[in-house]
Amino acid sequence: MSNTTETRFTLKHPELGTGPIPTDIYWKEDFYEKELEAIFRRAWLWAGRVEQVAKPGAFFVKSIPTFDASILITRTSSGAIKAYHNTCQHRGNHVELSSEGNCRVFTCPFHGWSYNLDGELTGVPDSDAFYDLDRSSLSLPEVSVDVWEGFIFINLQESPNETLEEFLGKQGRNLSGYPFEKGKAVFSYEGQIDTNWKCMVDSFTEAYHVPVLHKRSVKDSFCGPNNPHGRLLDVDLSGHHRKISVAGNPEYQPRPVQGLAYRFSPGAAVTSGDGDQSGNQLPENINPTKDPSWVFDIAVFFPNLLLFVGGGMHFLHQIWPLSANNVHWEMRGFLREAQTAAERFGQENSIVELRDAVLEDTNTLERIQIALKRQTIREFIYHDHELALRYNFHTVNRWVQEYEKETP
Amino acid sequence: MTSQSLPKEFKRLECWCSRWALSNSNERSRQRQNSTLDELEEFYSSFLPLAEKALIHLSGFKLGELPKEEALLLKLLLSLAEVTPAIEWYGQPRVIDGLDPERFPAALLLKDLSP
Repeated sequence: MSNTTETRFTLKHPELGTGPIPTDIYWKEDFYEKELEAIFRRAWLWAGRVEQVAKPGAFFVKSIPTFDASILITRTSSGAIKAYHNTCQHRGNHVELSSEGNCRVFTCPFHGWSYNLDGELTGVPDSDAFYDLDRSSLSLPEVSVDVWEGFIFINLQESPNETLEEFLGKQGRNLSGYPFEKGKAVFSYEGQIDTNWKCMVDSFTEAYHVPVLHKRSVKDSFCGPNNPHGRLLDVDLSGHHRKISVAGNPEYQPRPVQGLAYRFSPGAAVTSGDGDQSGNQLPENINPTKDPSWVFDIAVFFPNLLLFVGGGMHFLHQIWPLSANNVHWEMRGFLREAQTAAERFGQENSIVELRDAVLEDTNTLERIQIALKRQTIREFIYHDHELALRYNFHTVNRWVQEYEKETP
Repeated sequence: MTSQSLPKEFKRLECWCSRWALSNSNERSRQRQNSTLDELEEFYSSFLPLAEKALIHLSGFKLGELPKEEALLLKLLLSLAEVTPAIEWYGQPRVIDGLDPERFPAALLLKDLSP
């Protein structure tokens, strides 16, 4: 039995109101230009996982499509994780062209300037022919980097006005202790969509759409007779961030092949409605209402990371705006490693189900964006269980207003 | 074409190998999109009666240490996973009212035959 019927989440936050939300900020380029400076150049942004830089010399390159930036992230000999702009200080070429690898020095493929793992310029071919070459001032430009629960975040401010821990606040504490390190089998999908970045983030932070948009696919996994409208178990607003807890349908009877997948790979089933399937002790504030029908929490790390944490797997979406009206989007999933060949089938079933459901989720977005630009919708009317969307509107505006106050 | 031989209890499925033993999830997705519903149904319904037995069989094999026949059987099962939503959810090859999957291809792929 789910406790999803009597809650009124929005009324607990009177400062957010209950009225309509104007839609200008979801398509206008001038507001987007402000968001770039106020939000994307100031917030901590997810860049990768510690497993990608497991040993000294391991590196990966994270591209930040919003700024056409290329960030080189590595582990130094002393074990520290460092991030640099992937820019040779001679003529500006990328120092590292591979997306990942292992090395002791990064050597620019243009003229062969090389940098050690600490970003220091250590090699300049034919250096005698330069004038007043001051190597100490020619290190790779460093980017602020910090780690939370194995997730590597970067910050594009020279000195961030909040530490990562301060930035993540209660949301970070609430999710700490989840067994993220068990998600060793990693898959991802990437694409571009003509949508505003906020509309895309928002589309994953309510479940009101589930019984309708997903009626052919996952509706029955999530919405049973006790919860026909996809009401949420919990909405948690904290600082810059927000988290929703999503119920499943305990009565759900899987379809034939799907049922076999769940049976032979129980930890990989994302939509089975069984809650915690693999015996993990989950942190207290994941599924905070302790509802037995819980499937996953969706934690939004402002501005552009959505982290879904479930009993058997976790996955994320990261959405990078390219303009006010289109985004680059990555979905990355982290499954428990399959031990047997039968479990590999269960993994594939989970991936395919997730991808198909997400193709349903995202097909609405380009139609919405056209309506926004044509101004045939000027206000969004939010359901009580769309509170996370309302909160995003307020958070974005707060960041932009604070930025404008600081930079007259 | 290399050897297309399945463990002996599953010989009946060998006719599907040339079409459905593929090398990764993007190829499987493309094959699904390029098939008719009838073709997908035929594959699904001829596999379904043997699927449980196949999974019980493969439960006894460690991923990464699969003999050739079992590896081929797993390849077919991975395609069954790809095809299943077309049958169990949509009744057509594509997601109904879904984004074109060609616009959202897999970038990082799980290995098919090892962890």
